[in-house]
Order: sequence, then structure tokens, then C-alpha cells
Amino acid sequence: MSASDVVITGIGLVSALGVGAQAHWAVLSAPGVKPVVDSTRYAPYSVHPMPEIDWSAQIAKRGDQRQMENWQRLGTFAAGLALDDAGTKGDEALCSTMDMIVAAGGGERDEAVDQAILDAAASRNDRDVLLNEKLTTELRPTLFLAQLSNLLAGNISIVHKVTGSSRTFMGEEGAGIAAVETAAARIRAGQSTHALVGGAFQTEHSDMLLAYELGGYLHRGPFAPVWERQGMEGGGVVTGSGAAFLVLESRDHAARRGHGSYAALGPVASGRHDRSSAGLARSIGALIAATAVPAGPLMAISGASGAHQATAAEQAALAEAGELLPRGMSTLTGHLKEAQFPFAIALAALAIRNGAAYPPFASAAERPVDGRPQAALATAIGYHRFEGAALVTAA
Amino acid sequence: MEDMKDNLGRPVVAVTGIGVVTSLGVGKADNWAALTAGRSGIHPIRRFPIDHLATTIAGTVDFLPSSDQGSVELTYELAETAAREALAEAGYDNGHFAGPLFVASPPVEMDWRDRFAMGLSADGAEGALRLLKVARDLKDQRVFETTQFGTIADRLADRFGTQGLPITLSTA
Repeated sequence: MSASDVVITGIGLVSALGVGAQAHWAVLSAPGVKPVVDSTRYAPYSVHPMPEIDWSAQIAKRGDQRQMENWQRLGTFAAGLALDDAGTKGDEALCSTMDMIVAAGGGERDEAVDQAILDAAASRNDRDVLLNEKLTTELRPTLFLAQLSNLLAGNISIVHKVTGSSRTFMGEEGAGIAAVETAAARIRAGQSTHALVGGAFQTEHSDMLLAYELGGYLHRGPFAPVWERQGMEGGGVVTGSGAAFLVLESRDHAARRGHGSYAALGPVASGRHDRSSAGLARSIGALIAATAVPAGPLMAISGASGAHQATAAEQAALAEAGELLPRGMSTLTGHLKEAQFPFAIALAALAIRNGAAYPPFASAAERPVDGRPQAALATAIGYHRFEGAALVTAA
Repeated sequence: MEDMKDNLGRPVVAVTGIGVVTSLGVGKADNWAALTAGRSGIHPIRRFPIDHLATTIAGTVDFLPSSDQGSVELTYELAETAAREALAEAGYDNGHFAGPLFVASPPVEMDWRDRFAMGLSADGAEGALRLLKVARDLKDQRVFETTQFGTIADRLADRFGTQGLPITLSTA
């Protein structure tokens, strides 16, 4: 135990399962949890939709809410939940020195403008000129801002006054992995005392689905748990809307302000396996080993996306790494892209704090875990690239 | 060896290689020559039509092979070109840099030419769902990669043999 250990002192979660860390624990710790899935809106694709959210609870000003779309609202809202949970919300001294790393993709495009341009292009050959014509007249400036990757961090600063250093990382699951890894490394090195880290994903938008389906990654047809989609129609990924933010602190900083913690964040490992070559399972195995998993049965909160190749490799790696008992969170939350890794870490920390492992996540492939977990593994193996794993331990 | 630490006791960071590309040209030599001759790289935009636009001049790079291939391709080529110069100067020009990669880059966006090609294809589905249906059968890795925010860093990592998970920074 060291003063510069990284502890998790605040968690903010949103998914189809509900709003807030406690709500997620309540739902997930009860046996027989059922996924919330919408299979009609984007048929033949399924999505795990956003739950009902009272935005005003974390984004007080209507004007702030209006200048965002749901992706930025989700992230800003979940960041607020994490700050509240850590007891730092509204504490100017703490927020003005808090570092922030946001894992971001892009926000929602204006579907109506995109469609209007496509419609007009059917009868025009000067399409570059058409673009200028439409984009300069029809694209509302606020919607353009809602699209910008780094304005999630910008909005968190504006709404919650988190104004220490600010970084925005991009790159799907890898962005979330690098965000957690970097924040933790800075705290361990004494370069940061407390940091807000996380991401959001809003899948209920045709362009967000398009970015998966251009690579053939989306699952089609009847819903199935994330471990059971091999050989079914489509690419295996069912997406979800949601967000996860963590407040990470040095053990010393949390103790000095007298705030308890959920768990400690142990080693974080990341990698970039060349997906065109064999051996992904071996690379994932090496990542898991790098987190120094303890001997004996261990719950693994897996961020497996369902993508056939990556998920099969992760299953093989988990089976070989020791007595790992996986919980495929995407069965219940859907794939949350940039938020996947922070979300998996949050679920691991919640179980450790509450002193019980989760019952199986609606999958016959998962087995029960006995006793009080002293540690849990969290993984995010990218559907297309980049891999990460972390060990979460009792604080 | 006291010189190797700064006043806070941290290792001093030495810059051993620099690469640049701007509208003034490729490489330090051309850029230095242009800057010291008082030349500006700002010129009328030629990469795309400027009809209806309030802005008609910019420091665009319109002389690279991918200058007309959309923003993702051009961003990659700009990064690759600058990184190649920096690594060569630093003596790491064998394609196995084996150190970490941090790259700052703008967000990716599917090029409108691809959106037009997909949206105007003869397929039957309506509106936004048509693109999804076309995408499913397209199987075009190039178009897919223009929607992936990790793509530029991943390609650079392949190209230069950097180590570990590359970080793409998009803080304004």
C-alpha cells in the first residue's frame, strides 16, 4: 500500500439499465436481470436505448442542455454523477485542480441536413458546390458544435467547472483504455492528485451504427448474449447508449479529504495487436498476465463487444488465463465504444465495494462466483483494434 | 550528469528530430527558406470549390498526392511525411522506432464523395437506413476506416513500428 496508489472515489454511470452507480448495482446484483433491447427502431439491428434521464439533475441550465445533443449530454451528465459521488461537485478548490481525460468519438450529425444534401445531389452534378451551398445555409452552428469531439470535455468544464488540465483522446475502445492508463500513471507518478476520466456513446443515430456496419460488425436478427453470437447473422456487435465516468485519486489525496473509495485501480495494461495476424488470444493473455491477476477464482468484467474474431479470442484467453469467471457486460449494456473500459472498471469497483460478485449476466455461458471479491479483472478488447485490461482490487 | 535533470529533478527532454509540413512546403529546409524570405503560405483555396463560402484563402496543403483524397487520407499523409523527416533526423529510419506514439489530430469524418456514392446507389431502402443497408454489403475497408477515430494512429504505428497502444489527442 502506498500514498500514490490510485483509488476510485466516484462513479457516474448511465446505460439502458438505468442512471447512477447505485441503480446499476441494484439491477445487476439481483439474479435474472433482463437486457433492455429495442429491436424495431433500427431493424434488423438491435440497440440498448438510453434510459429516461432528467438532464436538469446534472445540467442545471437549459441553455447548456440546448447547445448539446445527447452524446455530449450523456457524458456531461455522467461526469456530474461521478463528481457528486466523489463529493467533489461544486467544490471549487477540488474542481479547479482536477485533471480530466475524456475518451471521445464524435457527436451526432444533423441527419436532416445530410438527407437534404443527398436528395438534392440526385439531380446535380456539381456536388462540391452543392455541399457549400447547403452547409453554409442549413447547418445550425449549435449542431456543428454538438458534433465536435473535444466539446464533451469543453461542456464538462463549463457545466461542472472542472478546470485543471484537460485532454481528449480519440480511438474507440482504445481511447478509453489510454485515458484510464494515462490518468492512473500521472497519479502514480505524483503528477496529478485527482482526475476525472471517462466517455460516452450515443448509439441511437444512424451514423453511429453506420460506423460499425461499414466494417460488417453489427449483429442482426434475434438478440443473443454477447458470448453466444458466433455463427449468427451479422458481425456480433449490439450497441448501446450510455456513459461511464470515474473519479480517480491518489490514496493520500482521498485520505486527506476524508473520502472513502470503492476500490483501488491496480495495474492497467494496454496493447495493439496486429489484427491481420494470428495470436490475438495470446496477446490478450499477455495483457491479463501484465495486470498481475491473483491465483484462484476471479470475476472478470469483460467489455467483449461480440465482434466475432475479437470475442472468440478473448473467450479463449480468459479460459486459459486461470480461474477467470467472465461477466459479459455488453449483453446488458450494449457496446459503449469509448466508454467501454471505464464502464467495465466501474462495475468491477462496485462489486468489490459491495462485497459480492454479480450473478451471471443473462448468459448460460457464465458461472456463479462465490464469496467476497477482493479483486476483479476489467477488460476492453476492441472490436476492430486496440486492447486493454486492468485489475481492480479492494482499497 | 546534473545537466540531465531540470530544476524539479525531472529528466531533461531533448528534441532529436523534427519534421514539418505546411502550406509553405515539405520539410524544415523549404519551410525555413520560405519563412526567412518572408513568404506566406496563405493562398486561394484550391482543394475544393469556394462558391458560397465567406472564406476563400487558407494555408492549405494542396501539393501532396492525397490533397484531393479527403481529410482522413490527407491527415495521414501529413502526419506520415512529418514523422518520416523527424525519425530520419533522429536516426530511427529503419521502420522500428519501438517507442510510444502520441499523435494530435482532428476527428475523422467519412468523405462526402463516399456518402454520395452510397446514398445515391440504386438500393431500395429509405433515408438514413439506406446507407446502413448499402454499408452492410459494401465491404470496403477504406471507407470503414474513415469512420474509425483510431485509424490514423494505427496506420502510423504500423508504418514506423512504434510500441504499444498509440494515443490520439484531440484537445483543441
